[in-house]
Amino acid sequence: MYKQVLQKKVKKIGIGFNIIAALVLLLIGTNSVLVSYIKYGNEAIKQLNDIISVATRLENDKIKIEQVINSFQEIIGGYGVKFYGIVSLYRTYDEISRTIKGFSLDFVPAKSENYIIKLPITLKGKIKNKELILAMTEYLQTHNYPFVTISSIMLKMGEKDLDIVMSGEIISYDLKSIL
Amino acid sequence: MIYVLQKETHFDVLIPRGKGSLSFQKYKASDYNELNNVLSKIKEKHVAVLGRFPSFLNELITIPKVKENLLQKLILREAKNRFSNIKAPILTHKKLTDITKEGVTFNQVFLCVIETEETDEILSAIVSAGKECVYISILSLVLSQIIKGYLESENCFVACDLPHEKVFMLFSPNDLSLVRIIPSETKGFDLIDYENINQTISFCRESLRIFPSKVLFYTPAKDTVDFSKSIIPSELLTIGSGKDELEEDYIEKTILEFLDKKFKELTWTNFLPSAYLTAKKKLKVYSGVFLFGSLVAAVMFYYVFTNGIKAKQTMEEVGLFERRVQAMLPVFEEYKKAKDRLDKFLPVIDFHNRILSARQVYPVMDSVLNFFDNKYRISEVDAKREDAGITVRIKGTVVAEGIGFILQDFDKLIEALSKNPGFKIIQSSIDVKTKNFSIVIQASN
Repeated sequence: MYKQVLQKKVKKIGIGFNIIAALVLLLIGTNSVLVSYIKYGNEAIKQLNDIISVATRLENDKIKIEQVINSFQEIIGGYGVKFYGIVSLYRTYDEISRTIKGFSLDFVPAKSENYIIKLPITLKGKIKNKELILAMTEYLQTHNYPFVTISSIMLKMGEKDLDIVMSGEIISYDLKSIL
Repeated sequence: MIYVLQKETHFDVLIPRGKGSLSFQKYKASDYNELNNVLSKIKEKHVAVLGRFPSFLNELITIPKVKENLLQKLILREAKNRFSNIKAPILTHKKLTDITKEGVTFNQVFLCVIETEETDEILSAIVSAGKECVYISILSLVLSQIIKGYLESENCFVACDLPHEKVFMLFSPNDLSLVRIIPSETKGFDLIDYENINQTISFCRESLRIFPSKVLFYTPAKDTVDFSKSIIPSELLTIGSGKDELEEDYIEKTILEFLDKKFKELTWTNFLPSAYLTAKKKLKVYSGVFLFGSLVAAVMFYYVFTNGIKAKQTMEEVGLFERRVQAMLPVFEEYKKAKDRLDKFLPVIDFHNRILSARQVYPVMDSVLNFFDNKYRISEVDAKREDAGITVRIKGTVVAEGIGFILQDFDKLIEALSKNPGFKIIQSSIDVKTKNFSIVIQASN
C-alpha cells in the first residue's frame, strides 16, 4: 500500500516536473524573443542615432551654407535682390556711351550663364595722351552692379594721336532668380 | 525524530520535547488509521519504528572465511536455506568475531529476518502521513545493544522481563548470538519462565556450543527473581543508576534515549524493506530533479523579468529616438534646399572671387610701359587678360644707332624687365637692321 502512496507521490512530482519543464521551455522561448528584440532595438537605436548625427551635421552644414550665401549677399550689398533684369545692363551701356564721347561702342547682345549676365563692350577711339586711359578705366570701374571689367587694352601710336581699343564686359548677377 | 512503539493493543507515538531531551510528548493510537492521523499532525519528518513482528527469527551461522563480496553472497544463500518458510524476507546481519575449529577459521554471522508484509501497514500509515521512515526494528534488538554495554567479557545469558513478553539473549562474550522472545503476561519470572530459561541455556550449550557462565535477570520486579531456579549461577542486571526502574515505561525511555544517541550505529538492526528504500530513493531523485527544474524555472523567470524590463526600456528608447528623428526630418529637406541654393550660388561666388582677385589690365600695362624711356619708341601695345595672368605685347624701335648700341640698349631693357618679380618674359626679339623689337611679357595673377 505504501508503494502506491509513494508511486502517487512520484507521479505527482512527475506531473509537476513536466509542468516545470514546459514552463522552462516557455520561459526560454520568451527570453529568446526578448533578447532578440533587445538586440534589434539596440541596432535600431544605433541606426537612429546615426541618422540624428547626420541630421545634426547637415543642420550645421546648412547654417554654414546660409552664412556663405548671406556673406556673399552682404558683399554685393543686396544688389542681387534688387536686380531689375537685363535692362539694367543696357542702361549702364547707354550711360557709358553717353559719358565717353568720341568713342564708338559696339553693340553685342547680352549673354546669361549660371545666373551671371554679361554684356560684352568694345570702346574704340583716339586719345591725345595715355593718361586719359587711366581716367577711362577708373570711370568704368566706378560702376557698381552692374559692374564693368576690362579684359584688354590695345594702343597704337600714331603721328599725333593714340588709337585705343578697350574691351570688357558689363556684368550683373541674377540673384533674384536664385533666391 | 518521531518514535513509534508498537504495543500489544495500540501504538505509542513519542516526540522528544527538545533535542537530546529525555522528556517525551506521548500520543496514543489504537490502529493504523489513528496512527496516520496522529503522525499527520506532527511537524517532525523522520520516524523510527520499534514494532512487533511475529515472524522475527534469528540464527547464528558459521561460514568459511572468504572475501567480503563473496561473503555477502554466501550469507544470502545461507539465509534463504535457513528461513525458507519466510515468503519475502527482510534480512539483516552482523558479522561477529571469527572462530577457529580444528585449525580452520570461520566467519560467525548473526542473522535476523522478518516477513516483509508485516511492515507494510505501518509504513503505509507513515508514508500516508507524509513522513519518512528512517528506522524500523524490534525493541529486543535495540535493548540487546544497550545491555551489551553493561556486560563483562564472558559468555552471558540475559533474561529480560518486558511488558507482555520475556526476552532471552545470549552474548558470546560481547556479541549477540541468540534472541528468543516468549509472550508472557505476568510481571516478573515464574516457574514456566525459569523452565524456558533453562531449556534455552541447554539449547545454547548443545546446538550453538556456547556455554554461558551466568544468567543476568533484568526486571523491575526484582523480588520475583529466584536465583536457585537457574541451572547456572545468576545475578540481577541494573542499567544506569537503577533508581527509575520502578517506573512503568522505564525500559522505553532507556531504549529511546539510546536510539536517539546511537541511531547511526544501529544500521544492522534496521529492517527497512529494500522496496521502500528504492521507492524513497526514486522519490528523492524525482524531488531533486523537480527542485532543480524549479530552480532553472526561477532563474529563467528572473532572466525573462529583467529582459522584459530591458525590452520595455529599449522599446521606449526606440520610440524616443523615432520621435527625435521624425522631428529632425525637415532638416534633410532644408539642407537639400540650402545645398541647391549653394550649387546655384557657387559659380557666381567663384566668378566674383576671380574678378576681384584678378589684376587690373591698365595698372599692369602702365607699369610695363614705365620701363620704356626715351631710348625706345613704342608703336603698339596690347594688354590682355588671360587665364594665367595679363599678357602684354609691345612692339617698337630702339632709338640708338649702331648695332652695338642697339643691342646694348635692348639687352638693358630685357634685363630690367626680367628683374621685376611680377613679370615673366615670354618672348623677346629685335631686328638690328630695322631696329624693330617685339616683347611679350606675362604678369601673373
